[in-house]
Amino acid sequence: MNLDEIRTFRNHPTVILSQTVASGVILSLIMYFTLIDSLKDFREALILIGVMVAVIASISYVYWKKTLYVFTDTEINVTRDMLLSKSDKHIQYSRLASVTVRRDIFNRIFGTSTLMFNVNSSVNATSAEATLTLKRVSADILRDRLNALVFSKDMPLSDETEVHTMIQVTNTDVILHSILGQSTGQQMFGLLMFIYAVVTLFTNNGGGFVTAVLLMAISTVIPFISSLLKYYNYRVFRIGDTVTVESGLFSTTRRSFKVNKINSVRMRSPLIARLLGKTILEAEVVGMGDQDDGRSPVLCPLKRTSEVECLFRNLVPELYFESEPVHQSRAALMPMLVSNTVLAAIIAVVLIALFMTDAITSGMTDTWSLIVRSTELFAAFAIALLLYARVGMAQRHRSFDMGEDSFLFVHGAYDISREYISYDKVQYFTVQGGPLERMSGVASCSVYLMSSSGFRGVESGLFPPEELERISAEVDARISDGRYDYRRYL
Amino acid sequence: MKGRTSDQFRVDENGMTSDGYHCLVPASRKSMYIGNSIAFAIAAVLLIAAYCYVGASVMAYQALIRVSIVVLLLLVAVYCFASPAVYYRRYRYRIDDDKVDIRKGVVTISHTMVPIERIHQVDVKRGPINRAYGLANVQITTAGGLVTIEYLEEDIAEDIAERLNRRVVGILKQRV
Repeated sequence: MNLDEIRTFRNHPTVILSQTVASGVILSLIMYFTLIDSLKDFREALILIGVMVAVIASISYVYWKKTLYVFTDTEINVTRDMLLSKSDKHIQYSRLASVTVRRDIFNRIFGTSTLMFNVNSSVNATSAEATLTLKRVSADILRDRLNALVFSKDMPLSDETEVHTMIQVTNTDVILHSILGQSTGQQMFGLLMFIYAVVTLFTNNGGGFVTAVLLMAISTVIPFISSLLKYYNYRVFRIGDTVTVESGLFSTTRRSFKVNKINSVRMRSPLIARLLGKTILEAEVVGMGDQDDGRSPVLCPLKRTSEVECLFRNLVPELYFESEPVHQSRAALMPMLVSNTVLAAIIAVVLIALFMTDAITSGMTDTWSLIVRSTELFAAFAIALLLYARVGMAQRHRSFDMGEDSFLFVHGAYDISREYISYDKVQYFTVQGGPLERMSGVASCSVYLMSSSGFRGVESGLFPPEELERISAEVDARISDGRYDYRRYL
Repeated sequence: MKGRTSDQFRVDENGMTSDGYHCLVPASRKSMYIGNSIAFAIAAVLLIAAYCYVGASVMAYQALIRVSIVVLLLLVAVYCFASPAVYYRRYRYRIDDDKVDIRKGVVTISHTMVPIERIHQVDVKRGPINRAYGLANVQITTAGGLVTIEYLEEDIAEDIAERLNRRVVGILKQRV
């Protein structure tokens, strides 16, 4: 295939089959759970499913037939000429943040690859602007051509497989990442549900057991499996200004994005990982949320902090700087302690009131119900303890520093993130302080920027407002004195 | 913000702060009171409806729930009826060549700064209550989210939107 001659594409016909099968399975499940009682027999259900599958296949066929992708010198033009609607989408190459190659089960069976084009916009950041499925060879050639055109990267895909990863991520690292990379809240919730499931199993509370197991599966087990499948065989490398991340067990994904599309880089350490001296490296790149359930793409799964920092320095030196961060002053302790004491007191009052109400109404005659109910008192104590521990950790870790092209916020409490944010990517900025903060002469600030899932605010710790406003002043100064040049980010 | 809170919201006879901030018009308070009253009524109806719906199934906790609802409604009522005066007194905005600057808040005071270079779109929004008092909001869209300058007189809102739009178009033209 020569792209100079052939510039108009249609999806590979197998997308009709994959769309039909995927939609058919979902519809059949919905039908099974909603209509199962009203159907007379199994044959009737089969006929209904058959009709639905035929309708879905027909719609998929019309979509396939009527959708064309034209690659010009400057843009991708996606046209869809349907009976009732007509669409004509123009995606300029300059707006592309990344081109992702996905190979899922269907792609592997049919020998195809799906190209996903993500634009640099906070609107629809969680879904690709356009997707195109082609025979694998054709998809690789098209991607190479686009890489050369959009990312100024001339290396063909076949050669990229020879490029060495910038950090060795073993599959043991991936397993550890899948368990310890989850937030502490998520891990604690999973553990609580596990304990609750065990307790309800011994107290013969069948409904409670099923609910606890389901909640544990949704909050902890499914994310663990999904993370394991996603980051298996992990590779990351940089060619010129393009970073490429490749991973996956059953469904291999290869994503490329220009360094100038990275808004911030974050070294994230959930509590247990931090105690083990391990960190995850993530980047905020617009349009990448579709592959990570709205989360930021991972530049390095959980590894030793020193190795991750070394990778960061080599992979994205544009945002890295040697920092001597300013820590939160002791003045920040008072507002945190007072607000958390009030919160702990409210929670304690509610839980003690619940305990007293139960004691009065049920009489609490048997030992077991007394033990169960006393968990309310224990919870009041444990929550207060957790809140004070949170204050201690926040005070110890939160800091900030300003570099030449980026600034650093260290935020969080149990889970600490060191986030390096480019001044040029700050969209707007808010400094805020409640009465307690104002009394102590401190404030926090929220920096708003485009993110993988649209936009987000990054909140700092508590510092003197004049110090925080220096960041906004630097953003303005870079715009007015020309250090910010929009052409660097096209 | 220590020691500066009262100074930064003090205005002269022209309704301007010493460092050139604009304040809101008195009609904005009426709009806020009506908006807050409606919000309070909706919150009260929802809380009472929720209590009627689940109250019977949690007989043991009825007294606790009733006390919580009354306390919550009292707090919301105090906030709804006291906040407009404070919000009005503290709200300040300033637009210069480089940025939009908004200071506001009742309990938490915030200072928002939007570089004009980052603005994508500017809209004038008029809700039914604001319209009744000849007020409008200017909604500024950036790639990082929305920022709103609230409770402006309609002609001032239109003027600000036009100025900002002209400035944004000017920046875009320079780039072509």
